[in-house]
Amino acid sequence: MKRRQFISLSGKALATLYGMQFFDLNRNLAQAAVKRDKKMFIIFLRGGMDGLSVAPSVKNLEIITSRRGSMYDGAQYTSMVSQSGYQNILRIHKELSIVNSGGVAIFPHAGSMNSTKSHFEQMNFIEGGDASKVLGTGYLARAMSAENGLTSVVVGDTRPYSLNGADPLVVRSVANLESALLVRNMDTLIAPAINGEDFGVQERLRFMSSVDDGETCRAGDKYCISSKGAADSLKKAKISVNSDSPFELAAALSASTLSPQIITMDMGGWDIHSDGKNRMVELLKELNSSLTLLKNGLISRNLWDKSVVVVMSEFGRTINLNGAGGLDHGRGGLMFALGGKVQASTNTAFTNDWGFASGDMQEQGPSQCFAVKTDYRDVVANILIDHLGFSQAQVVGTAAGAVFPGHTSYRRPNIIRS
Amino acid sequence: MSFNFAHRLLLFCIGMGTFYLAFGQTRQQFQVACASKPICLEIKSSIEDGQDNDKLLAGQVLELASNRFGYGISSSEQTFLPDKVSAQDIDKIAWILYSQIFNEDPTLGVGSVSMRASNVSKILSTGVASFIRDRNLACFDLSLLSWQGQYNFDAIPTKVIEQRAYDVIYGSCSSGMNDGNLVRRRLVEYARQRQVLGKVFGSQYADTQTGQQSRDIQMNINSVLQEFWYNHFNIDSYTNRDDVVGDSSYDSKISNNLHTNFRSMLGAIIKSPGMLRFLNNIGNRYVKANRAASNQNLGRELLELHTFGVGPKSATNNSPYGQMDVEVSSLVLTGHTFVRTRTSGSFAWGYVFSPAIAYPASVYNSKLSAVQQSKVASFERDFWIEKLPADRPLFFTQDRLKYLDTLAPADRLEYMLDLLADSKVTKRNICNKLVKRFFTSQLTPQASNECFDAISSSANMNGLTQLRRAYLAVVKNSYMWTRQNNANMTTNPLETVVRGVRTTGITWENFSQNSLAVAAPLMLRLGNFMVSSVMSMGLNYRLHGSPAGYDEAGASWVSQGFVLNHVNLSFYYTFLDQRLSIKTTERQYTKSTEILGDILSLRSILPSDPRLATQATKVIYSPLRNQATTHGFSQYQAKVIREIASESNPAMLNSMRDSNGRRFPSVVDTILDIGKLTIHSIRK
Repeated sequence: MKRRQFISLSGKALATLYGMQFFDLNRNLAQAAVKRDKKMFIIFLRGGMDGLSVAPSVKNLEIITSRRGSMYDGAQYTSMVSQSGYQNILRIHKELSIVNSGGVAIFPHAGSMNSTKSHFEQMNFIEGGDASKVLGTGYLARAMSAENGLTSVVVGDTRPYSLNGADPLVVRSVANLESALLVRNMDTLIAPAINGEDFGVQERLRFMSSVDDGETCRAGDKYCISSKGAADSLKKAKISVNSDSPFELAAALSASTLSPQIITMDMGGWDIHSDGKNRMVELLKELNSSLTLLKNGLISRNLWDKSVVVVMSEFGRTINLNGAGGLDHGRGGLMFALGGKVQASTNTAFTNDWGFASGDMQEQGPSQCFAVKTDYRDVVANILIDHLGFSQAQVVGTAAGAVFPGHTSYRRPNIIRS
Repeated sequence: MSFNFAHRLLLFCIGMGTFYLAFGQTRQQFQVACASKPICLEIKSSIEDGQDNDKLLAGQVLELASNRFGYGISSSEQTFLPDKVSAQDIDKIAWILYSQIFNEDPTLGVGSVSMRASNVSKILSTGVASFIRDRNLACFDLSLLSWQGQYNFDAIPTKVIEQRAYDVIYGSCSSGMNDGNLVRRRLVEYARQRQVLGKVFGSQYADTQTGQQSRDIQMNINSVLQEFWYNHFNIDSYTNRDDVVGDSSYDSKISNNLHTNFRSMLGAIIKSPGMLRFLNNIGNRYVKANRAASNQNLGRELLELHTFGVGPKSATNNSPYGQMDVEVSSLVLTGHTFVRTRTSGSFAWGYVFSPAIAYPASVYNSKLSAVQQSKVASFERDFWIEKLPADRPLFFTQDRLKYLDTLAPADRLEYMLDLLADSKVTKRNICNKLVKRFFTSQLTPQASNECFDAISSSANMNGLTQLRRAYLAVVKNSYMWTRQNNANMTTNPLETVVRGVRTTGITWENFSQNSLAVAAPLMLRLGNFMVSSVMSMGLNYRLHGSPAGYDEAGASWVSQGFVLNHVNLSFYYTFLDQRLSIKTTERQYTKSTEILGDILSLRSILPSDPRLATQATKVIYSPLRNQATTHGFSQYQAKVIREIASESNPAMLNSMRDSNGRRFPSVVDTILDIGKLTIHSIRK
């Protein structure tokens, strides 16, 4: 990226905070009534989540048995009883209990149509969402540019490739958010400099930031923004955060005046080449507590029914354990969505179980893994269209500016209850 | 009394009893030893003050002592020091704690090995202090594997931390963070970050022989290159801790090969305990049942990240390898691991090839019968060849596989690394990354081609100057200093902080007006500031867990948080002199406008083209733009300009003026001076 582009993006980013509309972006696609109060959360599990550990099949217990001892403990799994579409088909790792609490759609054999088992190529392919790989933008960025005034938020360190080309608010902590919001006062802060006024080196200018020493304004300070100023900014934006968790922050931002439609978050550590059993337990505990925090935060803000939380990864892992008690890179993985209006897929074209027939798997020996039978684009497109209100032409089809350009064989899994 | 409590009490008593047996007779020596160390006295004072944190810490020392004798109490338990503790015990605790921090007591510093009877006897006979002196163990390697998480780091007095970090940087452990004298995870990571940052931004290092500061003319470029390669072969510093891999040479494996050739560096890294552990090859063994490697992690990333590179985001071609190649690579890597060895009483961790867990000896043998050969052919066909994915080329061709199979197991890795390092795809990947890192995120074929030609030159292939020629081709590239390339790079958080420090002229020399003892804590505050600044902008420096490293100069950093932390950073720089009670040598500001002009400009996000400037950025930056135009060149551009101006094109240098007609401001001259040294360093 050129610095000029950076500047432009920075400006737009700041403009977002200012609540200004400086840009007249090209809108080539038909306008649809995107529902501004609806939310889609994308939780990307970096490293390649092993779907078979999370939700093994009841019908194919011999496969599970072959992993048991090294990867599985039978007591770790509970039946999934609350969803009609999955009862007695998939079992759920007990550490991911939130999946059993209702409002869930689960897709085994999920992934992209790209065959690579490289983390980075696969993530680029999935988050680019462009089968031809010529656009250089992310699929969520294209969604954000489909209509005026849509807002996205990244709770994390950096902007993911899925939002490349968009101007999300990127915050990684409450303190970081306070600092971001304080930019509203920047013009006041540097006004004397702009006007050529000399306010003197000796006159303390303090700016609340993560590198500040925690000082507060003193009597006589002419230009000073204190932590009180930060609190005021948060109050104005109607952001109330109850814990330091980024998932609580995500819920709080959803309810703020920023009112984002798309929120992305990452969780790392899923690349379990060794010690898979123990690491999966820890990873799923963390995932479950995080999703629970997010769900409770959205419920308390009356946003759960307006939200869909998508959990996905770049690929699944091998079916057989490697010699280190772990699993190497595979293809088809597990993808699931949660939300107050989410239901199990009613489209029987989407498999709700792992299959072990020849067409369900690919490769042999240590690299054997599940094939991809559910295109992640169908699931995301379903949410964009049926939940957020995008038109189908904005999301799939032949238009270059579509969210998933070139995706002409869209299948609707129908996971949003009316 | 619950069983649990009784059990713990029993263990505690056993531990204390053993502890007493070992040290009781040297009680007086503890007191004397502690009294000779001001920091030990400070610790003692903290314990006597009876604050909860201190008591907890002291309690954990006791727990530690019991653990060391094999009577472990669960490390997850919080063990408080008993309310009633004798003065003698406090002396012992203070000394133990001090020893833990400074590793001065060998009986506590080298694990159970050091508790040999001979050591204890010697301590009893000669005293702690003389024992320490005799063994000269100030920098003794410390294995903390079993001690992780046992301390309450935050309870350690700040001065102690600062003193320890000061020792790391300026003390007797002159090799800095590579000295193996690692104490606690957080402290070490923190200090490591600070020190690396200090190197990158061009600090001077103390002459460890005389204690005086001296200028290091190798600063900058080697440190920047060091950082580049560390990021290329990224492992997180947790993995690189001495107490995990017992090997502190990861950085030096890079620095030793910085100006040699890629093959040499690749070999050193792939065989380093840090990498072998980080990408799980420590457990990679041949599995006879399925004729496969037990772990493909390093085998895959060796191909994708370390050599060929990640496939492009916006192009249709893929990397030149497939799943089959990953399996071959992983097999070749079986048996390559590291172990702890003991030589002359000391322990070290190092690379070994273990045939017992490696892919077995060759099955491709010319002496085999026809039937056997047929089986071999079948084996190859079944195992090596036939699973080629339809959409991928295969790196390990049949000829290469056959040759690989003729080699002794230990030699296969060398052959594979030869192939990978000599691959055109690898060389192109390295050049693309160098170009991106050094001056433009917009790859230009010309820039990459010049580097590629240099790195591929037959006269220098794998020669000692291969990488140096590649660097020079990059930094001397004609496009680098053109106007078109001006303002063409978005810097990452690390470079942003580095650039800021350079621009403000802050160096360690700024502290020289004070005695070293006074300056050290101030310097550490600067180090803290640098680390926290990088992290506040989203880069978890040296703890970045992805083997792909962080994005060195890319769009992923562009966000409000990044921009706003730039602003925050600028204000911090503005008042750096006040915050650290130092006087900067480069700037003599008289008006706040000058400060803001310089500070904002150093972040290199000024709108160089008003048409692209948004209203928001205008509000913030436009009034200051005129004062900052001349700062539009990156440090690397400035270096090359300086070189060219001084040697072949002085008109170029003289033509560079700011909007007020002034030649380079002093701050740019400073950068250029650094650049001059840098170029000189490359040419050497």
